[in-house]
Amino acid sequence: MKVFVNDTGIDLFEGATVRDALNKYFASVLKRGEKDSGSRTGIIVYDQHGNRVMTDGSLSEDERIYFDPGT
Amino acid sequence: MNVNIYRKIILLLVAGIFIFSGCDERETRVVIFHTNDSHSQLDHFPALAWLVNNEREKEEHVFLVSAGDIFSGNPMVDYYDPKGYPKIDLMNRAGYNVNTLGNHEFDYGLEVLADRMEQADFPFILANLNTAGSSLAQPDAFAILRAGRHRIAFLGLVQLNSQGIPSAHPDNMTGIEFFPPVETAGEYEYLTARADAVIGLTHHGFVSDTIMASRYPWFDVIIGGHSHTLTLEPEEYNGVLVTQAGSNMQYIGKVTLVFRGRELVEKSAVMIRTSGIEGADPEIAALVEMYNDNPALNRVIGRLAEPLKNKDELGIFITETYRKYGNFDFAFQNYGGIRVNSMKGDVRVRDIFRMDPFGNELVGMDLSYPELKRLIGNSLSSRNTPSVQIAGGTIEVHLAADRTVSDVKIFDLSGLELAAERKYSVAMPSYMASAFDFEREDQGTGMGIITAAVLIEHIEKNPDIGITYSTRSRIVQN
Repeated sequence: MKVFVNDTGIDLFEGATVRDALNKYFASVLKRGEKDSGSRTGIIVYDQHGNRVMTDGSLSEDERIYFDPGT
Repeated sequence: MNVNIYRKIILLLVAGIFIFSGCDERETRVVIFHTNDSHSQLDHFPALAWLVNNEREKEEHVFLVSAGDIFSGNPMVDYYDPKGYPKIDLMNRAGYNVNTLGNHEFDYGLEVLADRMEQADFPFILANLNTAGSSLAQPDAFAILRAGRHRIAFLGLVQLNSQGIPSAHPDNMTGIEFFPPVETAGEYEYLTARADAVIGLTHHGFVSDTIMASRYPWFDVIIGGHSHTLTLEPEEYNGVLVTQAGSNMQYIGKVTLVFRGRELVEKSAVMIRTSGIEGADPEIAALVEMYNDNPALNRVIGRLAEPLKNKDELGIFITETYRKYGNFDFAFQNYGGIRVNSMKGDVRVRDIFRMDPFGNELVGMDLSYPELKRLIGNSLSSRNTPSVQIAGGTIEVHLAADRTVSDVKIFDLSGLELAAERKYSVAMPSYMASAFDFEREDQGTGMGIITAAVLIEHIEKNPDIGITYSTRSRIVQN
């Protein structure tokens, strides 16, 4: 399934959680040689409505989540 | 005398007209506390019970409801004997009024689920299923709770994955037919005639809740679950108040309904941070302490004839178990996910969670040989050794004269190199499926079971544990 992290589309297995999406996002950031945001702990993630989502939350197709890369 | 009788009759008539014309201006407040995705969490029950009891002393109509996924996520509950018992016991004592069946309610299997439903003093509801072909009794689609003269309807709905079932192991739902949740909700508009407020008590994620709100404005409130969304400031969508309280009982939602006469005139929702609740129920706290000291975790489930001396050998045991679990061609485990360095003698439930503590799900996917090569190629350490263990074959990493990797080859159990044109079924933990970035067509599907549970299940069936050791990866200097 496809989900979007900070508007970057990533492909994930069905049943993936927010944590899986972040793992994949950071792996692809490193692969592209972009600047890593540093710490992975304490990241606060939001959905497209501005609600917080817990990292163990389930994702569905085309869902969009956001976090502040500076956190 | 006659004048008095006439007066009384006239007064009764006026009162009757007043009531039936809806002009009764009496106000009724109904408070609904809610949790979702509590996932076998126990530690917050003392605070929750204190909060709810405190409110019940102040308010006449107080409910406590759950939007599903009460099980799976805490070995103290998931491996209690019988499974899940402590959770229901504490929910009974906290005074839950209703729970929607979430996808993880199926994790223990139908027989255990039926036992837990029997144990519960509150109903489990779900509208979008038919259990006629299974051993599970058909749950009610909805529950109607009475708040004085008011009736509040709660409609249960659960998410479905692309296979048309909730995200849990398919074997745990054999014989049950499921229906799309949002479409199913449309069949229950008649509840508006049977209740003064209709609440969706859903377990299909926040996005689906907003879709449901846009289609069916006759819902007054939707209390959701599954996406672990924390609506710190719940909002209305198409006039429907949509709320969800994160996960693991870190927050407790509170919805307040105000009726004037029969009409719902006000609805609001807030989130309460559990760690900020100033009291705790002492009796429930004592029970939580007792349940957290779960002897089932010390239960011996198997015995190693020979010790597993290092992560290489532990990885062989783990990957061979994954492979057998789904009859996969290959299975992989990243060494970083193995958190002990050895294991010997008696193996207890606790030992498996110590070795595999992350709660990763087992993920299955079909990969071609080039995709498998990319998986291994992208996982090489700085010394060009694979950072994963393999079952079902062996790996060769070929180095050029300058020590750079020139090729990766994989061989099956008969020693033949894999065929470029066919797909191979592969299992791996969800961490690898997400954090190991390798280009592939099939992203995979979660198997609905955590890897630790796969290992425990296997050991319980095969208590004499042993591995046939062989070197499964080597470096070839060309």
